[in-house]
Amino acid sequence: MTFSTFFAFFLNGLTSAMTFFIIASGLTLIYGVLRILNLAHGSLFMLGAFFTFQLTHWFGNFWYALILAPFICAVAGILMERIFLRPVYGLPIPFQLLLTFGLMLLIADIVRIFWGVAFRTATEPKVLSGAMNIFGVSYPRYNIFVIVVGILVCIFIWILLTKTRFGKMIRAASSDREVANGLGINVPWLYTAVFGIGAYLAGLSGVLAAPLRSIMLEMDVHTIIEAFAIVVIGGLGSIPGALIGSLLLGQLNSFGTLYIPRFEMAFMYVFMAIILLIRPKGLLGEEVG
Amino acid sequence: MSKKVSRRKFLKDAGLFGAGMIGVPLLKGVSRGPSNAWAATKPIKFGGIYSLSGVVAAWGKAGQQGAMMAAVEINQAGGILKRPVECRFEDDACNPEFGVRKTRRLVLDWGADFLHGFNHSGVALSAVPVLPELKRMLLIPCASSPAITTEAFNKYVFRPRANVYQSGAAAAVIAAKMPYKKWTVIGPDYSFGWDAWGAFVHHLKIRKPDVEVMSIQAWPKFGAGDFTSYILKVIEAKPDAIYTPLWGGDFVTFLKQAKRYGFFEKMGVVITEGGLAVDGFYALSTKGGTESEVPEGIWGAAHGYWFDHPNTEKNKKWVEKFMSMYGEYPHNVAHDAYGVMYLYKKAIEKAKTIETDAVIEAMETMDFDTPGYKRKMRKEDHSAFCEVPYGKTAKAPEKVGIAMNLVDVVDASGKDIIEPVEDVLERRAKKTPPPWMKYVIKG
Repeated sequence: MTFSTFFAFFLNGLTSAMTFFIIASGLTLIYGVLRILNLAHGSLFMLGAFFTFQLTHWFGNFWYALILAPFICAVAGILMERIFLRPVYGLPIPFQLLLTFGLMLLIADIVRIFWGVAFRTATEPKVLSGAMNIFGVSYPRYNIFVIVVGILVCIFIWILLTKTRFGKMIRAASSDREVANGLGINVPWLYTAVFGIGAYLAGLSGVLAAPLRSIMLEMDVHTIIEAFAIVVIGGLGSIPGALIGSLLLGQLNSFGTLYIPRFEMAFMYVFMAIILLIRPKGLLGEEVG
Repeated sequence: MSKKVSRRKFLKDAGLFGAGMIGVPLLKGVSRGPSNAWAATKPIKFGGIYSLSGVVAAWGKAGQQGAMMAAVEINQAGGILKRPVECRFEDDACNPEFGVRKTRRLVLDWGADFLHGFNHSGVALSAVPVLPELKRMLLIPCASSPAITTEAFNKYVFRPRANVYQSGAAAAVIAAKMPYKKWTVIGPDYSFGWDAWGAFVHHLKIRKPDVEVMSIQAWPKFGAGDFTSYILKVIEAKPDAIYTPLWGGDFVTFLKQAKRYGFFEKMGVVITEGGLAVDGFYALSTKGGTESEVPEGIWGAAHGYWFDHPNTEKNKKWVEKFMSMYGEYPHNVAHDAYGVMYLYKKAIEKAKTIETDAVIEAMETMDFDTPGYKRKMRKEDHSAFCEVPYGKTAKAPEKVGIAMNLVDVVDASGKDIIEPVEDVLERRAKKTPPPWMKYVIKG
């Protein structure tokens, strides 16, 4: 294999790793702070992709979708948290799972009603169409754009969590809700905000993925399974863990297709099983509970 | 947008629907019939099982459109054996388990007298074995794996159109005239994909023995959504030319992704099986249907019908009527599902009963017409002698909504491309895999 082929496969792995990361970071952030496993997270991703289809269809412009769609998803997430999740915070985990599973079905039906059952496609903006040359490799511009946005999201989350007052509040609330409340942090408000950010990230990932693939109903289930695998591999609630999980899985999928395509579908699960056997908490996970 | 309008128009024109895509009861208490007495006679029930959701939903919708159009016409003309036709459609969601369940439900709960449908060969293959138990015929206007009429054959299943052995042969006629030697494939990893590629190579080797089948092949999962690693893998293999049986939404996704990598410039030629169906052209049209993302010079014609061909009065009139009903060009599955209903009509009228065994006997050797072609059923395996067209893509601004057409369309002759009946019978008796499976190489 030549360097250019290797590099192209690497970039491909990186592109999918970045869409993985954006969605998984939202999922793990919500879990870390709210201790809610949001099964409807993949549905928000799907909504982001369908909004992208709709907005590019109406305005003929991807940039509107990039700006608007994640916000609509964030609003949907905030409504979800306020109306549905709030009453179940005190209840055992099975209730939360049932509820978010119900939300997943609900959103799938909403998508079915509005967009029907056929697949849709969205097109990248003109400036990002075609290929560009990187180290002698001709690689699609749009994929590079996705990688860049992924890196920016990484940096943004890191700054948000470590350098801002809001980040301190998040960390305080995630380590001890009661004490944080006692210290004057408005925890219910914080929960809503975190859920909104998580939903925004899911939507953003959906927007970025939309031109890369077909947009269809089954996206929600596929995505939530992938995102869960990443979060489990990286450690529940750990954002650096989600990053590592995404990068590993992205490359595994990309090079796996090249060398052992027969087992492509099994990679993720086998890998997850191995990690769980060796490190039940995930690579960077802390004690859960 | 075109799809939405067409659906609304479809509902309006058919004027028979309750809302909902799945399980639509229709033609109940038909008021358009000659008399109330006629409407009161017991209808003949036709159950259709199509993929109405998922990545090939457009193909399922097309089956429903074609069958509905024929049913409306048949009822307007007095029904079959003076009985009205009633249709119902179920969604198999491209899922083998659903396919079996919905087939059973149509017969046992709804009381279907006849069945038609199946877009996906994997789903069809799971449903065919339950037919003897239900004692119902199934006519397949879409699913194309030869296994359905060989290894999995039973007397209840009919395919009144080409299977991929036939379309593979038709593609090989075209490919053999091209200068390319090294061929590889990117196709869906299930029976249809393997058979399509295998049959294509099988025929190409007969016509041009010095072609090389590359060992680097790409077999992504059906409905994968992301083909980029496979596209890179194929480009890296540097073939002269490529054959692809990706179809439905998979083909659209693949084409969009492949274009980003300059795939179509890097291949000498791309020949498709099932890819260049009219739904794909709609999905890949841009700027309100005045331009298209489909590159020029790709060879195909999904599953043996392209609406602009053959250039006969009959076909043109049918296309016109179809467009006035649905507001879009007819899909190959619409053409064949329409043909299926009329074949049922012809066979039932010949048998003068709706009793399954009698209709089977009547149909087995039948000559029949579709809007585009004349076909003939073969008794031994219920496959059809049929011509298979192949053409290449070219810009055509006059084609409203798709801006592309297939040109230089050639029909391969039906007798030349059908699998010899001895081979079929031998394979069925010995249950051996088809000889072309050796060309399917997975890493």
